[in-house]
Amino acid sequence: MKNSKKQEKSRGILAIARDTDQIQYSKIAEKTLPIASKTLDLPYTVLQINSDSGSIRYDTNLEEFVEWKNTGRYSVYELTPYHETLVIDVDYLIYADEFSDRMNLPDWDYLLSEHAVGVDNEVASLMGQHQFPTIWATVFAFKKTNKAKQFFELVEKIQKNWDYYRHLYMIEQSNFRNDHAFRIADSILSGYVTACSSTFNNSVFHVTGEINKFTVDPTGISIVTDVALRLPLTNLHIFDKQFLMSEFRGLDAN
Amino acid sequence: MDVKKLVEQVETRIDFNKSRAILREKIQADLHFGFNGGMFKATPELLAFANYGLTFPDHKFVVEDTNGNPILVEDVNAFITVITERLSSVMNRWYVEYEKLKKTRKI
Repeated sequence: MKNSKKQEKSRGILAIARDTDQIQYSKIAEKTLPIASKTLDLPYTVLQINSDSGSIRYDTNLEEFVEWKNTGRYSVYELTPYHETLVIDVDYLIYADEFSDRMNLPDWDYLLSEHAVGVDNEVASLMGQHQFPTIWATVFAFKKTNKAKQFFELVEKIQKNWDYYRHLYMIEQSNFRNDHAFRIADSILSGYVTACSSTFNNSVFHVTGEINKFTVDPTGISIVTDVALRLPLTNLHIFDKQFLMSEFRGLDAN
Repeated sequence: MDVKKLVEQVETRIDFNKSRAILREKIQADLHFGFNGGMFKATPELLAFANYGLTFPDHKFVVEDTNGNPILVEDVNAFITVITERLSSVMNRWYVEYEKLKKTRKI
């Protein structure tokens, strides 16, 4: 995986790929990170973080429970080689630059994604019985600043004490989710407010269903799951990992 | 028979309303721009207010940005230019993409 030298005031893309028995995230990253790098004209780095803990989740494509190695994300602050880092899930396809305008402003230490749209199916947008608006850890950004460091240290604390925070925020699912940890950490750092303190302007588009067709051309994206959609060039979070591992052709997907 | 391949080959009718909604959602994000340390959304209302700002003493005013911060606009003409360019280019692009979507019935 490509690694860039540490540079002062550099900007780059970071992704974490931790393979499980069922899903080869590293293989997905080989296809998706070059797309992001080309679209945003930024270098990228893929990390494999060793973490003892993990959980399981139900994969709707495989129709079985699978390993879910989603812990340790807070480590990105220490491990990034860049001064400004855009962190993306390996299953997040970037075909449009929806980040530079926001990241070019001086007023942020970290930027989170608060708005999400389910492209083919609805996605849950509220967290726990207190109904906090969800943060999506699919894509976020941070600078090497003290406040960003505090944020990730808090995420680490929340992860390591998940049972406590889960009950405090009345979250029913026992699985740890970075989305929830980010929301809780931001809320605490901002003085327990419900609105996210620092966000991107764009929505995260989630494609939740099994993909039957996916093509990209200079004018847009055609995608068929349960529904057939014609979209402008935008960024998509693909839930169908099997598609990304096997049929998706990366930069040649047109 | 590989049903999956068959599905891929058969033309599928586009869900127009969903595609239209996602196009609109994307456009809303594209209307945002940065100016003088603030983030703004280019709207007809902001453009009208900025033009009105030309009547203010010294052509300066403070306006709230989308992050809830007060931003001093000292170069009103530059502000108007940025809003106009962003609004017209994004709205034109929206129109073109919407018209293409209306004509594209199947994938």
